[in-house]
Amino acid sequence: MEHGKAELVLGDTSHIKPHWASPSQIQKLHERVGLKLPEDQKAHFYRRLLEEAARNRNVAMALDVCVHCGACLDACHTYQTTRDIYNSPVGRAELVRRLVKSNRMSGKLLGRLVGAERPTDEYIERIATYYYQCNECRRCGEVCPFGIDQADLTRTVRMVLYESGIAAKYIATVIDNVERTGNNLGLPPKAIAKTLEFAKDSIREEKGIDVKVKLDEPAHALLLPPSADLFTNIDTLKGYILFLNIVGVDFTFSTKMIELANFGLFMDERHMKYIGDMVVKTATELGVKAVIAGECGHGWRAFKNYTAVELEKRGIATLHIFHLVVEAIKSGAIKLDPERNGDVVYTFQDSCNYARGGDLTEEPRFIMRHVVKNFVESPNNREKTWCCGGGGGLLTDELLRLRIEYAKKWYEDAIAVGAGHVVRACAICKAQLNHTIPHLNKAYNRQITYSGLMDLVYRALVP
Amino acid sequence: MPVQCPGEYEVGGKKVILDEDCFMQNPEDWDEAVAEWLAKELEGIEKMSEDHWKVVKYLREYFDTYGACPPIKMVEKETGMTLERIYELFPSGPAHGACKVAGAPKPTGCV
Repeated sequence: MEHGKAELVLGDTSHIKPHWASPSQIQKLHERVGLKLPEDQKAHFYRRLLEEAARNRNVAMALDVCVHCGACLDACHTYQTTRDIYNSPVGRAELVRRLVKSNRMSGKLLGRLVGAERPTDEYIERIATYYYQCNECRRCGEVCPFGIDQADLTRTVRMVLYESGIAAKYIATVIDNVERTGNNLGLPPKAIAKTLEFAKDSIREEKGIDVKVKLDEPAHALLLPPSADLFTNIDTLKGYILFLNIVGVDFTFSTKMIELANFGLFMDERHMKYIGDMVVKTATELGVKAVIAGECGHGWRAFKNYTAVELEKRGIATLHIFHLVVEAIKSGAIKLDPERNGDVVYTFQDSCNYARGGDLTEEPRFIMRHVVKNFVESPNNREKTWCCGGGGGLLTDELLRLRIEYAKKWYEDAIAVGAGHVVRACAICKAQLNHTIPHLNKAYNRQITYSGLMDLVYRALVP
Repeated sequence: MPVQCPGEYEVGGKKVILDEDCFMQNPEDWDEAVAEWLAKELEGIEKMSEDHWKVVKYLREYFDTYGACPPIKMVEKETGMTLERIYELFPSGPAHGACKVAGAPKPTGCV
């Protein structure tokens, strides 16, 4: 099958899989967090899954409290766009429930008659395939009458898969990169310095002012962008730099850790903490008083719920760049000219992890109203937002066919309100839009564009 | 027979090892003959034009100096080409197409 071109069959996505990480790649990651590949993969997976079902209340709820009401089916874009029941919250959980059932009395007595499945290689791969088609967006959790968070089950299943030696190559590669180099892209320090120089030069040419950009120097604050802002989203990067210079925040970047993204969230909590601890170490060594997060949805969630807690314990304040922008607008510290973003109709679409549990929905809207003239809400806004379709570590070429399908929900939302430009303040969203919008524009015969939010702040800022 | 990825090939006496995404796993063995082969087999470029070489040579020099592919905006600025022009030259774009022909590893992360 040609790379990334898997045919989409309505009702069956069982053949669309990520490339799997090699045993040697997993072994290397395992060693870093004190794990060891089990001798018997199937036995380990089965034993650990049963253990989690007995120990982890969220897993128990997903398996035993769910009454199959179907509310999550209407809420889930992966099911709505593919119509494969196993590519849905309730369907994915069913795959796990069948395995757990084989260890219960009814399953032992009646086997497949009651839907019980044994942990064969094929069955485990089936579980892995469908659990790597979930974006972990938590839209199902928002509508579930029992409050079941199926994305949490996805995280647990992926953790047990990883322990057993199964993980998506893309996620494993990204985790290895950041743990070795301090950023997902694997940029060496001199490439980082060169890119920051480039941003500085561009700001001088476009805005006519000389900005100060520190790298690995003592400062009041450490700025933590996702590293994609040093590769594809240079306008977002320029937004942070220009804004912080104008309001007079003394900040630095660090070559040791220039990454807000935390793919540990998509595979194993041990790696999430390992990556979070790298931020804590860098901030402590630099002696900063604050860490400022950039535009990265899932990274914000991992930051807010783990890294920030660790930083605050050490007396280091944590905040999102949007908090500072809102404060500057309210106090009149910056001058913004919405004219500079033109007559385009803009819609702001929340990234899942800002809106569902991230407590960051009103700040970006407040900023939107000050940087553009025409701002409209998409029908599914705030906690109802549709995932971009690339979240949860699915942002890899071999899943592109699926990602284009998933993207239709937010794209149709933008069309519904007549928006010509979609703003998403997250590096995963932006990369997903970059790769899917050309296909969607062609299919729907539109010319919709996209960007981050600091990009618009950058253009509107009057130095 | 189209190129299969992952796979190993011999081009002008050099071994070319491609990963699942058809990016070279042994960038140190890259040379101009390898670039021509990669361009033809992976991007469908029958003959590398002056503009193709301009982009590829810039990327390769940047990769040799900085150990990574440059930001896309920098490629546009330094080669004087628009993103549309780069897509015309390399159908898979600057990161997934031109960097591949330049023998640099695949940019990964949220890109």
